[in-house]
Amino acid sequence: MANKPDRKKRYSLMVRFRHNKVAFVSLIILILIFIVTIFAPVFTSYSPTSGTLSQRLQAPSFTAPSEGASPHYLGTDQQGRDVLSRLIYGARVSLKVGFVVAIVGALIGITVGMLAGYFGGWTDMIIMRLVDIQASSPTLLIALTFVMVLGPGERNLIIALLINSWTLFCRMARSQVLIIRGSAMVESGHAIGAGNKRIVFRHIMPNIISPLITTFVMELAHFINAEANLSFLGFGVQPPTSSWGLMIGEGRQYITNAWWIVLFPGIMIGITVLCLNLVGNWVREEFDPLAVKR
Amino acid sequence: MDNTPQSILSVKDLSTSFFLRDGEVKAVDGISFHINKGEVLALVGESGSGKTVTALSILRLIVWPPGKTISGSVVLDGQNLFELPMSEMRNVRGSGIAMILQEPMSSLNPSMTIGAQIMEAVEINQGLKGQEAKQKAIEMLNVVRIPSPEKRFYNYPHELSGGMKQRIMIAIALSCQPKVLIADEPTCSLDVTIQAQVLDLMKQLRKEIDMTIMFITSDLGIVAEMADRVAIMYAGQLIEITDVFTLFENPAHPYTKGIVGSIHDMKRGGALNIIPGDPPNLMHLPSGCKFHPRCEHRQEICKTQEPAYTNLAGDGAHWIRCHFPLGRQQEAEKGDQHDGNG
Amino acid sequence: MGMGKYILQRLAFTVVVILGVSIMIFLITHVIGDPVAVMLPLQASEEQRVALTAQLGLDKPILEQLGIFLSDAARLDFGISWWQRVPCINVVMEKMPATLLLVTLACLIAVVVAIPLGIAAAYKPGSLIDRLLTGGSLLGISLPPFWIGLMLMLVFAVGLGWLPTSGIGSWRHVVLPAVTLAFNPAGHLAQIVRFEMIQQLASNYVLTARSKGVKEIVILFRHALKNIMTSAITMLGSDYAKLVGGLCATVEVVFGWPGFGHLVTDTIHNLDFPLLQTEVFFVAVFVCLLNLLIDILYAFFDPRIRY
Repeated sequence: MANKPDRKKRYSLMVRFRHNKVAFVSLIILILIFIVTIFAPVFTSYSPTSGTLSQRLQAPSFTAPSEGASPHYLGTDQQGRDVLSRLIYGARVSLKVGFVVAIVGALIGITVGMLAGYFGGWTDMIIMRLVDIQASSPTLLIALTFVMVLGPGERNLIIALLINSWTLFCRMARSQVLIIRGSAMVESGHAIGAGNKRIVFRHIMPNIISPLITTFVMELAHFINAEANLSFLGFGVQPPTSSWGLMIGEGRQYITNAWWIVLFPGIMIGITVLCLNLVGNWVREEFDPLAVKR
Repeated sequence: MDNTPQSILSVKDLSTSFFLRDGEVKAVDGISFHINKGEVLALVGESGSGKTVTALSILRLIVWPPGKTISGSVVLDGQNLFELPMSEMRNVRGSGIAMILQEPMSSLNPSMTIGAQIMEAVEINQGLKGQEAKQKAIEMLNVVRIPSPEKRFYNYPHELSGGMKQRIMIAIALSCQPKVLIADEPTCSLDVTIQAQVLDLMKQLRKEIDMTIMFITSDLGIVAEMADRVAIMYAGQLIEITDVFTLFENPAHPYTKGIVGSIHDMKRGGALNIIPGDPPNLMHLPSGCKFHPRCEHRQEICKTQEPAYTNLAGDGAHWIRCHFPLGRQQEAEKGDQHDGNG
Repeated sequence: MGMGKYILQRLAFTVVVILGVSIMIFLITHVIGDPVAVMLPLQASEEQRVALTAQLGLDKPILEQLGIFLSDAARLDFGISWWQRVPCINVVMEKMPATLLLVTLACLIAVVVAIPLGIAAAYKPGSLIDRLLTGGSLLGISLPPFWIGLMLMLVFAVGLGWLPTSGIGSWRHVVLPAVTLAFNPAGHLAQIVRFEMIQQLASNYVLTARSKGVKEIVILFRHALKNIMTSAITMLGSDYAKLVGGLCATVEVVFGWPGFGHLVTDTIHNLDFPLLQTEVFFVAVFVCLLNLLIDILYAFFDPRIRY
């Protein structure tokens, strides 16, 4: 049974984290992105949604001088909007969608998974069949179906992505419950039945934290990517709001003479998803008893 | 002095450590011994004492990371194996020294037929191909008493019992036709009849082709039956080497005395007697003599000063690592200390 | 349990999944969505709505509609595409081959690149090649494929002019999209090959092989590789299915590749319900059959699974 009270001591946790420089740096980057996103107005004075047409398609200020009140560090887009600004406000959208989908998905998935694992029998079987069917279905297409039916936009995008978000959390929660059930039964036969609440809170919860964090971080990365995909195609966030995917989608036709509109959002997506993956990998390697170390 | 005329394998000052996240594990710490041609040397010790690592080190099978052989030399038939380039070492593996590995359950490739795995040993070490190699492989299956060898040839490891797998491991090692055979607990999961057959087979090979065997075991019954000389390992070090009779009748090291117990209690399948206490943690070894925490005869010097590897009998036949060998003179000859021969 | 029974079991599951997906799609489009409202202009009168509803058969009870849909689907009759005015199934069949070509090529590239590199990285963990591989595969997974495509297009098509920017026709047209699409599966494959190889190389049977005097390269390719095939196939198969199932869409759009993914995006822009239903059904069937194939390949590579 995975019971590592000593590993969870804060001190050794932070020490371990710092040892793995890559994961640590990734987390710092993520935190920075987060901060800049939340305090957007501090970092940019340009509006992300309205621009000055006379200043359209200007190159980033490090390649050519720019007009306007302050330099356009990353250039302007086809409507004269500051790219950096759109990038920062776009982060808000992309991250928000990712977080909401991941959190709600986690809540639903964990609840369902714990029910399945705890009650077993028919409940378990039905739920797992549903999970299998869901996992075998074309998730992107189903999301697109939702989009078609409900119409594009941020809210509908979130709903569309939610359909697929619960399954992984469900599987994870269920397997954790099964592990605990197995060992608790072995340890003391009378533990089951007496004090279910106790079992849930004392045994299941602590052990679920690390796989939960891993799954959450990985799913977050996945949904940020998914939002980018859908927005790129025009099905997600609608103009004039910006999201990273949408910026690339809109900037596509200007790629030959205004490559910066496409380059920077892509880099941002890449960095964010990469850092999330690295942190998620690290969490899994450190805390998942089943993961094999080198 | 170094290599008596009949010595075929000579190990000097061998040290292998594993560098883990939490520290260095000195699995083998400066051991020296030799085996003469046609002789059976039993390597005995508790689990974790370094027996298997010794064998793997001899064959240069220690993988970095995290393990590394940090010093020593192994001379086979006059050639120092540690000086060979890897490509030549591979030639030595098998036809020079072959090893029967310890865990039959996981030591066979699950997606290859056992016949193919034996054939591979034959092809590489006997230089045969195709049908000839296959015939030899089937012959080998017969030798280790596997029934219906032609059919079994096509079986996969998971279709065979543990005992059969172990016999396949033996067949593979013997197929290499080695000069020296290192057998790491080759009979531990076999039933008594098969065990007897396997031991008889080894005795036969020894007689017929003068095969040299290094037998790693913790079964004193087998030691009594098979061994000419015995080496006792403890916490990565060799603490006593002597011929088998002296070992049982008059051991010099308190540890040996402890595990051998009374000669009258012995029977085949007898495990080592339990000595109170646990083997030391190889990352936090005790100071001085590694055995001192469990030794009834310990004295002050044992706690602080590591005993040297000394020659008791004067003719190189009985080496001991102890400050106060039982029934012998205190402070044995310092002249023959740590010479690298046992 | 023999192979036959195993296949039957998997087929049964496949049917259940396809059924489940079809029902899901049906529910989404008919219960949540309102095809009639979508098709008619805003000023349409009530009579027009009623007429259209009856014409489309949407006034029947839901279960009856579902029944009709499923029985039609079984006969591969998916109705007429609203947008293209031809049978839906024809539209899908016309576009599928192009996508299959693209995805197959992409996966081939992934295999050729990822497996040798993964093996090399596993053989020398911590070395430069290992770090390059890990970094490269992570990037390949993290960067959005449509962006990779655009960047490649910028460099090779626009900048250097070696390859065309879009369309289909010659081998040149397929290079950029295939390479772009290959990043993701290559990244996954490289990671799993590396991980599994490291485990295999640490196992006891490799020790046995080495002790026999087997050469290292033989150990890598004859002994260890076979044992990682099941994991590698699972990963690749799963990626293949996901690509065909829609992830190729963005790349097809970027390069103007007239395939299934591009079709899906157009379908949605045109609000063509029956066509989308057809597409989803097709993908579901394809993915399930692919999974079945993978399961069969499993048994081929891992003798322990053959009962």
